[in-house]
Amino acid sequence: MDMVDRKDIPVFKMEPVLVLILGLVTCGLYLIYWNIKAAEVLNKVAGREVISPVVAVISGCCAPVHIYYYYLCGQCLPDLGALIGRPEIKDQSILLLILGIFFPMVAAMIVQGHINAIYAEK
Amino acid sequence: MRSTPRSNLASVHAAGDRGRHFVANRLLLLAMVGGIAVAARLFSTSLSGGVVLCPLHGLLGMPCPGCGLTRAFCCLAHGQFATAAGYNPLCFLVAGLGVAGAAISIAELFLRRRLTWYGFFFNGKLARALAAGVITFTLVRIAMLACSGELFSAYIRTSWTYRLLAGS
Repeated sequence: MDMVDRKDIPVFKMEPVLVLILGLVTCGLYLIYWNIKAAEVLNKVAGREVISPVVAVISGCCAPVHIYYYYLCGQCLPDLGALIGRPEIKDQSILLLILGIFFPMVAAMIVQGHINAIYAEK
Repeated sequence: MRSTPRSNLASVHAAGDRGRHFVANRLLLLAMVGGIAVAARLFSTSLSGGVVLCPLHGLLGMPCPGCGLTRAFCCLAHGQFATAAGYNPLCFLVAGLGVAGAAISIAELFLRRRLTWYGFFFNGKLARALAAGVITFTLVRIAMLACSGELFSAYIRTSWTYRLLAGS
């Protein structure tokens, strides 16, 4: 039986508010780094390459690609939910896509919040 | 640390889910690229004085890595390559990747399977090198705008925060 171990997931834990602040203060440059790291974690959680790291970089430059990036992030959330024992976490692609259009920073904070749950001690 | 059997993940990945994502992702990508191309073709290339939509630019008056891409795409769609480069040279990279992505999506939808030859797009080192290039380009552009004085005048002209503070 294949095992998904939390130890294999890269550590990327930070306060969602900090993502917002750093994203604004660095004029979006921090978000390029954040996109890459979040993609790395979510791809590991999903066990397959859902989000291309190159798309993650370009999404920091181009709004439509950014929206598409959040759409892909939403597809990894059921895997994340299964990993942390919370099967109620469903595919949130559409929600994150809509948030990515109107409130992209909120979408980033939601994704970071879900990622933080991976490292929460029980 | 707790381990989770992949059988839990297997229950998530019913064959129907993956099939739906396979088609939906590619159709969304095609819709996005097509929509941008049509919109860029329809809009005039003489875009100036419009409302600032970028929250970063609106709040801080500073250009983000994608600042000018909208105008650049409009110029690209009208064949004005030099003008497009002036707005944001990254437009060529983003447009090229968009066209390539659309072509690959069409091929994969037609073949009903994922192609494997573009695996380098999932290379982390390539992404990091690209990120370093984009960040360097943005910092150099901000520095050049600051040295020329254009950064402050653009902030006064376009920033929401300045307009709010100035009461205009």
